[in-house]
Amino acid sequence: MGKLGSTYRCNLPPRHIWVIISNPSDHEGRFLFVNFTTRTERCLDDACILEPGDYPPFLTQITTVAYSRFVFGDLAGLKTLLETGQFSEMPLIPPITLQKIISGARSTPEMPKAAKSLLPHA
Amino acid sequence: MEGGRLNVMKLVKLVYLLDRLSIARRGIPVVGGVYFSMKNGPVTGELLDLINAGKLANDPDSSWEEFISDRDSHDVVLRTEPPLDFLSESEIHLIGEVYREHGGKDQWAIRDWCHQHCGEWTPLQSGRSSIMLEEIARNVGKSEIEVRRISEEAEESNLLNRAFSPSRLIHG
Repeated sequence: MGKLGSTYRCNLPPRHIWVIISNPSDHEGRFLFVNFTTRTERCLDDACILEPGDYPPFLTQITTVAYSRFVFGDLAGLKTLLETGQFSEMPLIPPITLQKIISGARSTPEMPKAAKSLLPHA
Repeated sequence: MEGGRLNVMKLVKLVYLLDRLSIARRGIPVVGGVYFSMKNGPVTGELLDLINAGKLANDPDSSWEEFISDRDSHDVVLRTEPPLDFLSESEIHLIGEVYREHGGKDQWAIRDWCHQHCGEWTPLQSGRSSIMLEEIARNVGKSEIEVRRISEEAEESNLLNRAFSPSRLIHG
């Protein structure tokens, strides 16, 4: 449970998909967690735009990674979210899509240095 | 801070206006917390608690006191420059923008500006009343669809903050 690329759905509306984009085993179980969201006209969070083919069949429209809403997560908290049914596990995101998301995380102005420092080395 | 010293009311108003601008631009606040209307305008409850008590109730994190002095009459003083590692570039730009617009005013002028421009604020003679995030979003021009999205995302963030709070403390 809970490794680089692990993917989940939050069961609260609007039921965002969340992905682990750093390696928990490199940081004592802590990791960076980002979610996908529908791209809107005024969206500033546009460092990584995903298309339906980037995570079939779960993405059905143009989607953006909401780096501004990133969270520092930890495995214990993730376990609780899964055990209480607030999050559900989904199939792993394809490796090429994961790399695209990590690359966007490196360049986005929406994540602070402290978060970027957890990203895996290029 | 202005030469390392800042009026408390001015600080509280600037931080509220920072969150308000961030909600308008990005749909999320920079600082966040529970917002209230008070006699002298809108405030963030947690920031007032930090200024008055040096930390939040039931929170062992005392990094506020490491960087900011105890309240000295109506002012607080910066003890040492805090690191900017936990602020994004985008948030640093927003801080600059708020300070360029309001930093030259004193606390009373900012209060008056809030009274005139923050439609979410309720005039009160005493006490306080809650300002919902949704009211701020509506007053900065968000559509009802956007307001709903902001509200749902705030609930999701609260869930995650509760689940991951121990790691946030370690990291903070």
